[in-house]
Amino acid sequence: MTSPFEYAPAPESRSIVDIKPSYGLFINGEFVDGHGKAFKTISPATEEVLAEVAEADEADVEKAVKAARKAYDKVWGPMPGRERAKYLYRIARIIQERGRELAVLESLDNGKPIKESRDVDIPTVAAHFFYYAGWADKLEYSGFGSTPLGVAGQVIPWNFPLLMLAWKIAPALACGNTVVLKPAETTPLTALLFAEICQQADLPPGVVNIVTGAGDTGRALVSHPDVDKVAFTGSTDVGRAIAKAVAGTDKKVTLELGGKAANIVFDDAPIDQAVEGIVNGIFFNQGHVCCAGSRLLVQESVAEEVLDRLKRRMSTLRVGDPLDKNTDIGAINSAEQLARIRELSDIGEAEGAGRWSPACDLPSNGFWFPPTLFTGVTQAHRIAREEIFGPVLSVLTFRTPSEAVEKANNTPYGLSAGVWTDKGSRILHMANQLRAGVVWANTFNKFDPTSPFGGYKESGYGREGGRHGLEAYLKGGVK
Amino acid sequence: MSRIDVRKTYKLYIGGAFPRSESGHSYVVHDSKGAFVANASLASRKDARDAVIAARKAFGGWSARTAYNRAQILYRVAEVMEDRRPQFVQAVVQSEGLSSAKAERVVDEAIDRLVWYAGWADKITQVVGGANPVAGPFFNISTPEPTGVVAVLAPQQSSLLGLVSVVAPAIVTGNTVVVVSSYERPLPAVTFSEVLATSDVPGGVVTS
Amino acid sequence: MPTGQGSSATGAPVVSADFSDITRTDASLRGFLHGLPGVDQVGAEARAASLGTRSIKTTAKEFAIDLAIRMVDLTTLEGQDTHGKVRALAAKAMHPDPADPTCPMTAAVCVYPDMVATAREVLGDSGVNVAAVATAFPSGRAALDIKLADTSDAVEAGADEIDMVIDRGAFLSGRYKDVYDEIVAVREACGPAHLKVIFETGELQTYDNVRRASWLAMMAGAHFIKTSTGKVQPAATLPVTMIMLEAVRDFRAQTGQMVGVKPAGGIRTSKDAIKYLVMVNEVAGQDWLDPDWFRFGASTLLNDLLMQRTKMKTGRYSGPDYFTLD
Repeated sequence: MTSPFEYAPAPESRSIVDIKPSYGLFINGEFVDGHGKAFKTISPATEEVLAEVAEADEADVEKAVKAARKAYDKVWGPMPGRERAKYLYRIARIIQERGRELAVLESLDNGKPIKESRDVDIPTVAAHFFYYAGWADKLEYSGFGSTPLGVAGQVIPWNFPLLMLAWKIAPALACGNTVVLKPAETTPLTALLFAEICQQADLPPGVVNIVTGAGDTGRALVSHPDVDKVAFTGSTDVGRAIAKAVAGTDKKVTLELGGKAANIVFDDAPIDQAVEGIVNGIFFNQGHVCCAGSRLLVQESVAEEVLDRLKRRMSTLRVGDPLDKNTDIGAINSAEQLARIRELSDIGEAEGAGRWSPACDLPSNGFWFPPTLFTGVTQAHRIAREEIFGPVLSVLTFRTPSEAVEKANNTPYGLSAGVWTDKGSRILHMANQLRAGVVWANTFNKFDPTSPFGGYKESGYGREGGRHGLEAYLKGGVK
Repeated sequence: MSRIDVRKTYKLYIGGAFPRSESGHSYVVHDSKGAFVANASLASRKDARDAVIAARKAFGGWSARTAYNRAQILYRVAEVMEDRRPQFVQAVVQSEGLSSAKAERVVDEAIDRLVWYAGWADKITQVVGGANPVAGPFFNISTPEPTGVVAVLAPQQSSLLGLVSVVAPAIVTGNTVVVVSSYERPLPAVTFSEVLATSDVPGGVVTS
Repeated sequence: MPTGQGSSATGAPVVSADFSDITRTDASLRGFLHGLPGVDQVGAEARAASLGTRSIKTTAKEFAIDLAIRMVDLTTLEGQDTHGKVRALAAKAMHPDPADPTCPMTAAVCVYPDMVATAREVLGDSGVNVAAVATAFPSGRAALDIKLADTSDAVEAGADEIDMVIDRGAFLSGRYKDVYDEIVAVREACGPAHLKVIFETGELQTYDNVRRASWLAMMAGAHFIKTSTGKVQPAATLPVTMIMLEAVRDFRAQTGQMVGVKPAGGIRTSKDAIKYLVMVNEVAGQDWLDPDWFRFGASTLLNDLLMQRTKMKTGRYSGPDYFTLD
């Protein structure tokens, strides 16, 4: 049924971004050639090649770490906190000033809808730098001392390219460390634009170094002997490998890994807002969110009603061009990720769960997957246990609060959870019982620089954000 | 013939506007060497009352803003002050009789102090507040809250740095203030209020 | 005109709902109304704001502007209203843009009861309806027989639609049965005229109350539920209207009956109006994208819609002197 009120295309202009044909590595304040085999980064919405990007080999990583070490010893480490603060404030301001440009570039390279990059990612990035800028001269109030670690090697994922960069770089720099950061190979462009921002801010050379590449580059970085601190966000498998690689060294490590979060809806929940929260929990950023609410646990007495409303709401989701201001769900980031989502969804079907998606036209080029839910899922299904990292929701039911807690905690992960109820005491009780680093109540997927984020169990260790996020970059922190 | 300069009138700052004293009174302000500089408005009891009313009116909105927003506005004050640095240096030289180099250091310190306090907006709660592990099935938290309208009697000697040091911590935490500026050295305060007026600080948050 | 009967979403036969058990006493009404799902304020406002970010361009905007004009209840409710003013307003309702015959008419003209005859005289059978506010508008503080007399007076003078106000005092003190009975009685006094029930959501304050008032009015037989009189701030807001759109959507799912929604007061620009239409489209559904099921209570909105309409057609903005005063 087509509506008489069809929204005409409302594309955000690409002209604000000037994408260069090729990009080098950012080492010691300059863009330099890499010595690995250059690779292409594409727009996942169209498969159009956006740019060619240098690959850093071991020698390049060596150069970057050396530059970071020198900057740490000579400039950044000795610099008073209040001067460091002013650099970070500058960066925050430039990010605000160039916000639309960053948003468009992020949507092009990642495939996420412009309304998300514009209204969530980029403002949160600026806020993160702003927040940690304020800590740089107040570390003695942090409770973790004020002595930096040295050089941090940081590896970030493709789902929130610039936001994950901010989560890594802002606290590291505020505490007086210097960094070598590797963005994901499918989404390097905003990190390279960030390098330009460092130049505009006159950040001393070597304080921030960006090395692009894939797994080999990342391995070279985290295993480099002169790196004092390794910070990684990404899959649990890679996180495990990193933990092994640094075991026995004196490197400090924080890992922010996968999740299989339960979004728990009680029968007294504000139903319409809960439906919004379920949608936001799993379809925000195409479900490429480690803390996504991928398991819906709904109380049996309202299960049918919630599902009816959820399906109706899903039918209004607009899937398509990431640069269209009305797009709710953009492109899957890569062919590889799309294949994984398809495989697990097929397994869900084969295991007997009921698969449903609203009717939606998907573009013919690029990587796309419709918003999907599975009903009749139990804890024994693979789609209830494995992280799909896509717009796929598994729906389970429960009868009592204790059953909800047991099912929610019955996972190797423990990154986040959501609770929907009008009863304040139940929220607090559930937050206490759930083994998850973040518990949202009557909301989901809300990020703020003041709030620490991180996991239990296989979701990793260490916290990012807030006062607690400083611990990972200071010597006074717990080793 | 040499150009005749256009002199500035130094007025009060109340509720985002720059009125003269309702009393019609002013007094002569001298520089550090005793020469005439300007006639400053001499605020009356009624002006003080109006200022408190303006500050009270602004309190609800200002204290309800997010800490992040207050931080950004305070940082904006620092930005605008940096932009008018030479003017402040001159004002400090004139009223405090410092050398230019010393006055520059005073102004730099004042700007940096604003930046320092800006950062406290969204951290003070995390440092002094917290969850209290009471011995019972209750959830108990403490969180600092702004007091309300704060009357600030600014230091007499330090016309700018002293002023900034007492105003910034009060407003960054959500209070609104009524400032009685230095009697002998009021002019940097008036210039500072012009910075506040052009830095997204809502009218009435600071009145002097 | 609304018939009060819509086809259900699935096309299944319309179920005639029986609410007699619920509406019997204050206690039974409270049990039902307070058993409706709660509304989370933060979440509801965030959802409404996010719908407000939809970007409506070109053909979609043209469609929306013409639809919005057709949905306007062109309103004048002032102590200083005169017959001359009402005649002028009625003329404008029939020909909003005298220079452009393709410009649609508004849905209705909304006046006080003593102006109904004048409006009727001008509008005749043009298709523009006459709506009258009644029941001691805007406060609703009068005895029931006076409210009913007010209503019949307006209907006899030729009103097609009656916009009544509920007794907010009774509602807030939990006397739901009184509110219900009053709506039922006014609906009866309306005879053939259609009934819009005004909640004055600015006085009900909470979204939970808005949802409860919506169900109360729908069960009592309202053809339309309406946010505000325009005399209290805040008047219509996006989140309040969204809660009401959810209520009519849910009411149809349960009973098969469609009820209309009318935000009134404070909607002044085309941009605002388009946000409401997006919300109608995505919350209640496209069936409500029709003047029979959605109205704007507004006065200045019409001229802004006309200005945007001209801009869409000519590519440039015209000054306010190119659009008629009402």
